[in-house]
Amino acid sequence: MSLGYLFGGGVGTEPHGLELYRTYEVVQCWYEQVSAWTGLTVGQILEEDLPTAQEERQSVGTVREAALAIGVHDVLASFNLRPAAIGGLSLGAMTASCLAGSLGRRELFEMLASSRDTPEPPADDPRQGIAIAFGPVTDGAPSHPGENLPGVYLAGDFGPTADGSQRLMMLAGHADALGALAADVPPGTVVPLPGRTIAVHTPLRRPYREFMAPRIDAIPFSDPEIPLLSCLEPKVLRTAADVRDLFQRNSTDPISLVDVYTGMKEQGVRLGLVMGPSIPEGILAFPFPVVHIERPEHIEQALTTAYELGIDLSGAPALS
Amino acid sequence: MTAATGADPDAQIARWLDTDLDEWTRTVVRRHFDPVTGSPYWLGQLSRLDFDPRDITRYDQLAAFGPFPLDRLRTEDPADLVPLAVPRPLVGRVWDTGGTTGTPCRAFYTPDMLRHRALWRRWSFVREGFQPGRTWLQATPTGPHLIGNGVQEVSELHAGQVYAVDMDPRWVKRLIRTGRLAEVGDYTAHLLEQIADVLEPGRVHYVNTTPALFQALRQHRPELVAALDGVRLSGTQISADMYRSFTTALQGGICGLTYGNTFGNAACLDVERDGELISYVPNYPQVTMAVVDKADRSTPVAPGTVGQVRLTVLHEDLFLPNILERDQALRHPTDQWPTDGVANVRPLQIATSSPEGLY
Repeated sequence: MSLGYLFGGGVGTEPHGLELYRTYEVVQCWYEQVSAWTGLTVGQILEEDLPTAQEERQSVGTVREAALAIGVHDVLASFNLRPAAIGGLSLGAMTASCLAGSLGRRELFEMLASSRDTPEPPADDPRQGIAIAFGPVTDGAPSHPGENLPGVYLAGDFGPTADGSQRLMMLAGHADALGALAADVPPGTVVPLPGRTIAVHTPLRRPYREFMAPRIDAIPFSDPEIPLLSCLEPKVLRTAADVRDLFQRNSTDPISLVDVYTGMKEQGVRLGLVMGPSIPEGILAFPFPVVHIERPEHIEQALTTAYELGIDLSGAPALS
Repeated sequence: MTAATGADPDAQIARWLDTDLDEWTRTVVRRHFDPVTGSPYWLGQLSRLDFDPRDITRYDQLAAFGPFPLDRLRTEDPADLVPLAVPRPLVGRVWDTGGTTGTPCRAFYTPDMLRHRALWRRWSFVREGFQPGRTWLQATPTGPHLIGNGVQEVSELHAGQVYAVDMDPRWVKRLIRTGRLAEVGDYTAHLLEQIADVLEPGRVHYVNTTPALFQALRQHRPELVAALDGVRLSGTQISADMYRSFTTALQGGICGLTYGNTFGNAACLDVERDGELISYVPNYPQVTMAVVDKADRSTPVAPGTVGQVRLTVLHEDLFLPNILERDQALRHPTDQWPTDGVANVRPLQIATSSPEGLY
């Protein structure tokens, strides 16, 4: 019986983690450290409005999400809870790699902070966007409503919904193409997300990938110390080269939560802890129970659930 | 058939299942709001309501009461929830809810309420294949916890001999809350020693316990589990993996399940897809369950989707409309039952839940 830690992707615009920050000294110390590495204030990391420029906004948002996810990990570690397998989507894959011991925390956060220097796209480039899409539940590759449409790409597969009736996916590409698709299919089938102006996990992110490539090449990766699940294919990343490859391809290749949780299941995970708010609760079907940890009360819920499922919890110190 | 169940328990269950819920609602509500013989608590609420409950004619109109304020059950005299039609002084037990988060809620169970619970319990024993006249070990909370009444229910309803090992869930929760997890392990080991002591001579056919304790027993003493004819699990969540590991360890023994608490229970309806869907149906008509939107507790979720469990107690001697449980589940309509069931019960999670939050 073992624990798996899951890290979501994406960049929320809302403040996250305030209650955890106020409750746990270990989180406060951690945010001070991230501030020192990134040049952002704790307030910027935690709760202030994100910058308006696209790439700078994305950069600060990733620092915010990764800081919270690692903060949650550190609170759980203070109770001696540690994962037997780990994985995540997109940014969460990089955070998971860091916590698996493949790269230092400082290297991760300096890389995320440096991405603010990515050149902004030319003003006359077609606008980009992302959309949530629902499709049929099928075995094998997901089938989505925008297949074969120019400018529309499958960017993410989140697998079946909790009721098993549909498959939840993320499409990305040119905003106009996504908007036209949404108007063309039954209402609610494709829902463009307002304010999301980067076609993540598609070939349209090639400029970002090329800008970041030398920075990623400069990071000294190590072999993961625990099973690290890829979100880019069904695979356990076992070497430094595997992890570097994930970092390089992460921005342009589609992601799959199914690959992550299926791999975890194969690794013996019987309880998943979702770190931070980046994977919504109650919407998706996981092959094992999951507890979402966003607030202090969720820590106790995670400990209780681990006890109830028979996961060994011996040797943990007191909750603060 | 025993003294506890009275005449023909199966016929009684059939009559209950055949009950018209709207008619039953009218009967119970009018009993509790009868000006002379109603329950003191509800009569005291009349002036605070903007409707006359005696005008209620349908079950769905109970929504007008809104969520039942459970805090009142921490301070009210439990006797005041019982209609004065039940002769005073009341004779019977006050039962507590878990009390794992502070002062417990308390409810008085009249003999009729205990009989109702017992009949349903017997019904599910029979349905699950537990044979009468066998020897049981009940390793659950006892004392103020209604689940502990299973010792009497098994012996009286199912002609069984019962051993008992007591577990204190409040202590376990306190240890977890204060991070004393090594002591949780010590306490579990302490319970397992007592359980093993009873099981080792091989005289026990069935065990009634919690999934967490049974998991620990399976992990530490699998040979004792393999020797059982069955287990009945009550009280906390069970995952598909746990169910599969239990049935494997039991080597053909019964794995019976129930979901509920001090206010109401639900029997396992089906285990489908190798444990991936575990459904329950409430002890109708005295207990009904709905699964409602976590953000709008007056609105049921769509069938098959997740929401918060909302329980309504419609007993002649206890009326508790719209209790919001600390559990979530899939709404599980079924043509095998007069009302909705629930499936895949888990502790309630209130967290980010819009698909837009996926990225």
